[in-house]
Amino acid sequence: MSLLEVENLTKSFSAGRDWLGRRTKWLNAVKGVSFTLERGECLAVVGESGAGKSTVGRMVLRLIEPDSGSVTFDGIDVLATKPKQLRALRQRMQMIFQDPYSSLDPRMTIRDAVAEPLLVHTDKDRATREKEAVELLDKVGIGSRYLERYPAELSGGQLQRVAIARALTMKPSLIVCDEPVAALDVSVRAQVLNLLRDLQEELGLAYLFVCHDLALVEVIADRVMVMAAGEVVETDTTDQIFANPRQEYTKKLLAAIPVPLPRDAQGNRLVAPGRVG
Amino acid sequence: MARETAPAGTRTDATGGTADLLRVENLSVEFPSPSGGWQTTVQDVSFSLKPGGSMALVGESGSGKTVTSIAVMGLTGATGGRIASGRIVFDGVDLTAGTQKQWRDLRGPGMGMIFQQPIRSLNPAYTVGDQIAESVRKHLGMNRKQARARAVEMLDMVQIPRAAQRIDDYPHAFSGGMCQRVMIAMVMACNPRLLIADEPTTALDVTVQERILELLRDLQEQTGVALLFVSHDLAVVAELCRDVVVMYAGEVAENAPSEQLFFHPRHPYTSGLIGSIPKPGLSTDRRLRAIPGGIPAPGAWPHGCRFSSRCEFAVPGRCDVAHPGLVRLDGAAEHHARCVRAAELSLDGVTV
Repeated sequence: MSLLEVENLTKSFSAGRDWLGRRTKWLNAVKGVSFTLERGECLAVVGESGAGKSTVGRMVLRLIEPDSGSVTFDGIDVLATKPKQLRALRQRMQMIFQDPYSSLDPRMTIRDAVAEPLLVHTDKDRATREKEAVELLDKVGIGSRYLERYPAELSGGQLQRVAIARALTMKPSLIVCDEPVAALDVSVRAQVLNLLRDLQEELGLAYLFVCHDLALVEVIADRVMVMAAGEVVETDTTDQIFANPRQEYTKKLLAAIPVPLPRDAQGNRLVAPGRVG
Repeated sequence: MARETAPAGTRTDATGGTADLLRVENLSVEFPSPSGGWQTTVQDVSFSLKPGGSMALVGESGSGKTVTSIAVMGLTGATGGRIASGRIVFDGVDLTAGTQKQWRDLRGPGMGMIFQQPIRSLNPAYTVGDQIAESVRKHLGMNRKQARARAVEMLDMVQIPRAAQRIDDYPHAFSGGMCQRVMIAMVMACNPRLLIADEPTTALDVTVQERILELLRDLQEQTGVALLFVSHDLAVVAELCRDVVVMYAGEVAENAPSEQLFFHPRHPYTSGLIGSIPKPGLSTDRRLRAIPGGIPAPGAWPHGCRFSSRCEFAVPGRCDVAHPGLVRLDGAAEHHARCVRAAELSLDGVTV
């Protein structure tokens, strides 16, 4: 049994209302998306803005209610779960957002932010909670001198590490990562991606990794699902997607990845020295 | 639209070569520090740009690249800072010695700037045509009818389909990429000689980014506008720029023509930035090379080399004792690096 089984997921949003507030126009954001995710696996969901990839990520956690379809997490029907059980279930399925500045409470210290899920979901005492928070922060590379700091005092890369630590507190088996490095500098992006990969290996996490940049996906994903206009274009292993993309749309996305080769005066790409062709 | 002849005011220097369009000399910029007094955020930055040239300012958030570009636009005061020392010379005129009005008159016909979030740069309450027309009426003295015609011409030039109809649309009706095209149209409508682009594609999809970069390349060819491109992403810079200035902690770490900088970087920071670009199909061990740690904040700059705490090549006793100068390197005409070990290190460049 797969960790996550998603079948025929569909969602439309209202795109216009008449003067009585009745919905007149509908936008089909996600149309019949199905996929599975195994334990410890990373599936990347790739596509342009508006492809519906974030909506899929949110529907898996039921942060957005799907119109139809089914989501089965570890054998449990997520869409039929009652609010109280859903709360318990969400301990095992967490989320990391794109913008770490707005996903952390600005008035809560870093240590409190990471310890808060333990306060909500467990009856561990304060000392235990704080001890676990410190351990987690250490794991993601946030040193003890930041414990009493507030989010505004940390950089974007550090905040994303804190957000990762917070997502790990309840020992989840699935983390939905919604563009976790899109807001970060190139050099810091590499740090955070490497961290996510290390944690995956160490803790056996499964990631649903929503990302618009195929170049980053190769580092982290086992399989890739390409989406366009709410539908799945193709799903394949990462190696296959990069070596033998089957769909034109995937080829287009691959071709758009900027290559770090400068051009000469005529606009032709230069070739790295010591390399033929 | 093409500028056939060299624009009036282009001077030649003593050697007969074209004089610089923009020269930034030893620029330092300060901002009020929370503890009182002034805090230097950009220190002793120099570079120059020829008419029609393309140069990139590259660095992480906090490196001072945007502060530098804002200073070139003469908007430092408007952002709360001040130019502490140094000169900004545009077309032979020292702007830092002149009045604010002189600078203001240059913004538009002389230099224009586009930003990271195009949707926030446009006024949601006016049609895009009105916003383009406003700038040409103000700067070029056109009447209403001429300005409207110019707006259509510009939207056409930035390849917005059905320009004549889209001109009456409001910004919300445009996607992010299309908004950036509108911004470019607005800035280019006044025929500037220098276009400053501050992370113009960071907020856009990869496919849209590709098309905006193509557009900027075409515009440069057609109009001969010089480009100062500000970015944290060297991969994007390679697509567009002939020269690169790498900034770190408020100062220039390395500068060189693109070919030199990408293939033979001489500063460990530049090499690290190149290494952290994902290379599709080539990352065999599925790991990116990361530069450890983070950039020091202004005011926390170390005494010696500002990059030394993150540098894998740092040698105690050499790198952390004195602040290294920007040194011209042997064997390369226009290649400078701020590293005491530049001559002895063999660093990795692009190997794609």
